[in-house]
Amino acid sequence: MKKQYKIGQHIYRIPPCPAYDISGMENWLSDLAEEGLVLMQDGFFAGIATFEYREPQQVKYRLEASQKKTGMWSDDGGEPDPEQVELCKKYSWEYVAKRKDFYIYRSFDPSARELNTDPEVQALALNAVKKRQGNALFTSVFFLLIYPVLLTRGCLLLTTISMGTWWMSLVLLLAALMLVDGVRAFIHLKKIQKSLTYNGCYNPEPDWRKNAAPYFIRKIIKTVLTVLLVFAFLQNWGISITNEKKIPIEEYNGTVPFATIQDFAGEGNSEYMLTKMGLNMGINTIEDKFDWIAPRCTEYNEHASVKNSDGKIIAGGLHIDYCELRNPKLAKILAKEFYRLDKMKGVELTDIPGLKADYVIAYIDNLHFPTVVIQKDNIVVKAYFFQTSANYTMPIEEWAEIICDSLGNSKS
Amino acid sequence: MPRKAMVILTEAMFYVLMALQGREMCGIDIAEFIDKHTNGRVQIGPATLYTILGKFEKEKYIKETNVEGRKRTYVITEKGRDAYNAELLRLRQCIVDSDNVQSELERQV
Repeated sequence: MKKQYKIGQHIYRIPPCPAYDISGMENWLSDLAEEGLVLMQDGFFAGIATFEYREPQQVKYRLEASQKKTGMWSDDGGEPDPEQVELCKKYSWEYVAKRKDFYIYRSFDPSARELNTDPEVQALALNAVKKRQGNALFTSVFFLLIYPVLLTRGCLLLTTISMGTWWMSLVLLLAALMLVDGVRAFIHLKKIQKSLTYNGCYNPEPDWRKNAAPYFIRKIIKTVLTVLLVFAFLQNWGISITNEKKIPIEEYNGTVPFATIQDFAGEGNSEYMLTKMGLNMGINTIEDKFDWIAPRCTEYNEHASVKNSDGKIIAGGLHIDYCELRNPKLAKILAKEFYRLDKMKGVELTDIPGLKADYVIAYIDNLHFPTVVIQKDNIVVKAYFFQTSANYTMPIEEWAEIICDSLGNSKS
Repeated sequence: MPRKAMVILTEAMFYVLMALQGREMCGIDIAEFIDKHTNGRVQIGPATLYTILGKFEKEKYIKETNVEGRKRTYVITEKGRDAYNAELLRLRQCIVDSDNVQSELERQV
């Protein structure tokens, strides 16, 4: 049963086709007019069309490709040339609204002279829209594909783990949808141009309903993904500011899967104490993350001192990024990404012979912290240990070996 | 084979340049000129007219001389005149060719 509206009532609709589907838009608007829904002046906002209910009537709608940018901040607010609007009025055409790169005109006079009387010129007019679409596509490719790779310095696995595999998949899905839409728009416009130039007309799809469902599905998916990602970004941002997920080492009940400063003291009695506290700064904290691609990731930040049985005091800050991945291949990639990220900032390589691991690289990083990246089977560890003891400085070979040997042997 | 845009003028483009041969005109004047001088045979749509004016201005076939409120006035340039004359020559040649063929056919008969 059809809905009943009152004369003058405002009705809102989401267009069932993109703006560049010229015939789809024209037919949709004309069909709605036959049901009494007439597009209101400036009746497009944020992708929603506003209609006014009137007596059902035949209305011709035509879309005209804008030759200039139609954004809110563009010249003349992106409105059409006033002289052209005046000439259109003379020929019974009324400018109603704009949607993206197109101006929408309508005529209540079935015998009104067509807006476009020369198909070759109409094809030329679409050049401007196609060019803007091409630029938008190029910008999308840059910001959705190239820029993130540059921003993450090509460390995609590391980014995926820190973002979370599912979120990364959603970002990629959204980027893919946006790129596909951009390409579709470009191809569609090219087809119309070709048809206008070769055949003298474009072959309009008479029934806009045919493509409406896939268009709405894509639109809903994109909207849901965007909302989800914005929500997730804000949530993660909040968590990273408040350090909500970091637990003080003393309160941690889980199992630490690698050696820590206390283990550097070796066998026998040792006096161990945490030297700094500061949850807000993440000092002496531990944070566990669980992800599909990396079932366990731990970020460990310890500031402590320990006196071993020989009276040597080992003190300083130990930072460990620990990841257990799905397989050793991924682990090797991650280990190399850890190193690559530091290498770009500048490192000085150090040789550590004899570590029993699949991949080891040691270096002094740009902050002068001795650092080691170790991959053993499906486990990757990046550790740096800066020492503050006046009594003793433990060589990197020694503490790196202790960490390396501890991998795969969890402790409480 | 489609014609390369702007190399050979379309009928509408030709008439726009024709309108500007005599004097400066705005879009509305051009539309009226074409209606009047073709007795309504060539009807130029407003979107077509203003796309042509935009393209011609970009190609420097015409230039804007005055803006008075909504009204923009254009004048034809040397380049535009050359394009018009070239098209006129081409059309005349078409008629000459057609006449020659017609004469030949008549002689054969």
